[in-house]
Amino acid sequence: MKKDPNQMNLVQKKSKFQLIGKQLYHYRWMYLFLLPAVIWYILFAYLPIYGISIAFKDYNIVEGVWGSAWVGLDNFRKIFSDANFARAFKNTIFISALKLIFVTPSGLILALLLSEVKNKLFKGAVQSFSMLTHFFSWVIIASIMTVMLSPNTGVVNQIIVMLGGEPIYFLAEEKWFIVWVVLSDIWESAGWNALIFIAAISGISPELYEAASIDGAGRWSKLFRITIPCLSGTICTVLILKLGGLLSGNFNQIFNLYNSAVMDVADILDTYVYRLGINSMQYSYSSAVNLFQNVIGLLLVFTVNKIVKRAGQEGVV
Amino acid sequence: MQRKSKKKKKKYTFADYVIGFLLLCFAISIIYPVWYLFMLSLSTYGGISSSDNPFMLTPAGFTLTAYKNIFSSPYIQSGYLITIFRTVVGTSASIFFMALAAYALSKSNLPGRKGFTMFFMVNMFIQGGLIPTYLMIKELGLLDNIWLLVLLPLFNTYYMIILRSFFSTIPKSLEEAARIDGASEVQIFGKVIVPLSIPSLIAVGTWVFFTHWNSWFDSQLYFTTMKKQVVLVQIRRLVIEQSNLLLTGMTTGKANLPTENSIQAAGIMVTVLPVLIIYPFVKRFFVEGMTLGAVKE
Repeated sequence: MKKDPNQMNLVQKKSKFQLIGKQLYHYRWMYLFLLPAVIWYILFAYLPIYGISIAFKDYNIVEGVWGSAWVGLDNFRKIFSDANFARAFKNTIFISALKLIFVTPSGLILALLLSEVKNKLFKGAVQSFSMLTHFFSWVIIASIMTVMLSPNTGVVNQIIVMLGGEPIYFLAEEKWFIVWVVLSDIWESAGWNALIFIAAISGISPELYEAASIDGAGRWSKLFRITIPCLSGTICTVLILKLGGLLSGNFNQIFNLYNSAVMDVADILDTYVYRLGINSMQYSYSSAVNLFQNVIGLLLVFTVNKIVKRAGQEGVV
Repeated sequence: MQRKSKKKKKKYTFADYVIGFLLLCFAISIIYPVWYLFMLSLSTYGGISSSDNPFMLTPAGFTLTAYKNIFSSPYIQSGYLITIFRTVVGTSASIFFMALAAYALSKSNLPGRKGFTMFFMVNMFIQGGLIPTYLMIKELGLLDNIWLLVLLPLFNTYYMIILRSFFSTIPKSLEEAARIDGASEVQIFGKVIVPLSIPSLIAVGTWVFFTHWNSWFDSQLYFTTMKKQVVLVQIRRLVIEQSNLLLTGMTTGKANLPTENSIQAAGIMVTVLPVLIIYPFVKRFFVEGMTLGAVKE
C-alpha cells in the first residue's frame, strides 16, 4: 500500500480496486442497513449543527438559515450587556449548586440506608418505589405539585391552616420556589441516583466487613472506615458529572414549575433561551446565548476532569 | 452486614428501626401524592366541602364523573391517540432502524466501519441546540407534521452502541452456518440475529417506550395545532396553565359532581396509570440497562 503509485503495475492496481469493489459488494446489505441512519443523522443531527451558524448571522425569516447575512461576533457582544442573561446565568449556577449539595447526597444516603436493611422484602419494596418517580414526566410531577401545593385547595396548605397558620403560595414566593425545586428534584431522582451507589456498595468485598466485625467495629465505624472510603471513586465520578453539568439546568423541571412571580430566581439559561428564541423570535441572539452556554459547559467538564485526573482519580471523559 | 445477619439470627436493634422508619417515610412520600390524587379524582364537590379531613386517605364522596369528563374531552381524546401512536409506531420504528444500523456496525470487517461510528458519535458531543434545530425542522417543512414525533427521536447513538456491543457478542459461527445453508443477509438478520437478541432489544425498547410516553416538549415546540398535541401537553394546559378551554362543557361546583381539582387529578391519573401498570414488569430492564451503560463507561 505504501509503494510509490508509479511503481505499482497495472495488474496490481486493478486487482486492488477489484478487491475493494468486491468487499463493498459483499457488504452491500450492510450499507443498505446503515442508509436510514446516515440520512437521519444528516437531517436531524448535522443540519442543526450547521444551523448553529445563525449565532454568527443576523437571521431573517425570508433568507432563512443559509441566506442570512454574517455579522461576526455581534450577537456574542450583546450577551455581556444583557441583564437578563446575567440573571439567568446566576440562577442556573445557584440552582445547580444547591442540587449538588442536597440532591446528590440524597441518593448516596438512600443507598447507604438501603444497604443497612436486613429484611430483603422491605428493601426491595422501598427501592422499587423510590425509583418509580424517575419514570414520571416532569409535566406530571409539576402537575401533582400544582394541585397539592395550591394555596386554597392543596393538602399542604390545608394542613397549615388546620394547624392555625396562614396559607403559603409556595410556587409564587421566591424562597419557597427554590425549596420546592430542590425537594421535587430529590423526590424525582434520589431512587435513581441511589442505583449507582447500591451497585458500588454490593461490589465491596464482604471480607472487609467480616474482618471489621471480628475486630469489634460497630455500624458507624464500618460506615466511615469501609463503605465510604470504598465509595470515594464512585462519589467522585458522580460529582464530576454534576459539576460538568453546572450550566445545564433542568429545563423540564423549571419550565413546568416557574411563573412570572418567581422569574428573578427561577429563570435559568435553558428557559431564557427558549423564551428568547421561541416567544420573542430572536433566533440569532438566543442561539448565541445557547452556544456560549454549551462552550462554557464543555470547558467546565474538561477542566474538572483534568483536575480530578491530576488528583489521582479516574476521570470520566 | 447482610452476611452477618445470616450467620446470627435476624435481630433488630434500635438503629434498624430508625433506618426502617426513615425509609418508610421516604416510601410514603412517594406513594402518598399519587394516592392523594387518585382519591381526589374520585371525590365530589359536596364531599370535599363537608369533609374536615384534608389528608384524603379515602375519597370524599364518590363519583366517576371526573373520568367521564376527561375521556369525553376532545383534546384529551386526540392527545391520548397521538401519544399512543407515537409511542407504538415510534418505539417499533426506532428499534427496527437502530437494530439494522447497529448490526451493520457490529461487522468487524465492514469497510468504513470506524468512519460510520465516528459519524454517529459526533452527535453525542455536539448538538445543534434548541433554536438551530427548531429552525432546521421549520425549513424542512416538518412543523405540525405528526410523523415528526416518530422521526425526531428515531435514532439515539447511545442505544445504538449498546445494541452494537450486544450484536458483536453473537458467535460468528451461527451466521456462517446460516450462510452455508443458503440464507441471505436479510434472512440471517431476521431469523438468526433478532431472535437471539430479544432481551437486549426489549431492554432498549423499554427505554425508548418511556421516552416516547413521557415526551411533551417536542410536541409543544413543533406543533401549533392544538388537536395535534400529545396528552401530556393537554394535561399541562389543564393543570399548569389552568386553561379553561379544556373544561368547557364540564359542570363543576355541584354537590354530587367533581370539583375542578378532581378533574385535574383525573387527568393526571390517566397519564400516570399506564406508567404504574407497566413499571413493575420493566423495572429490571432499566436496572440492567443502567449497569450495561456503567460497564461501557
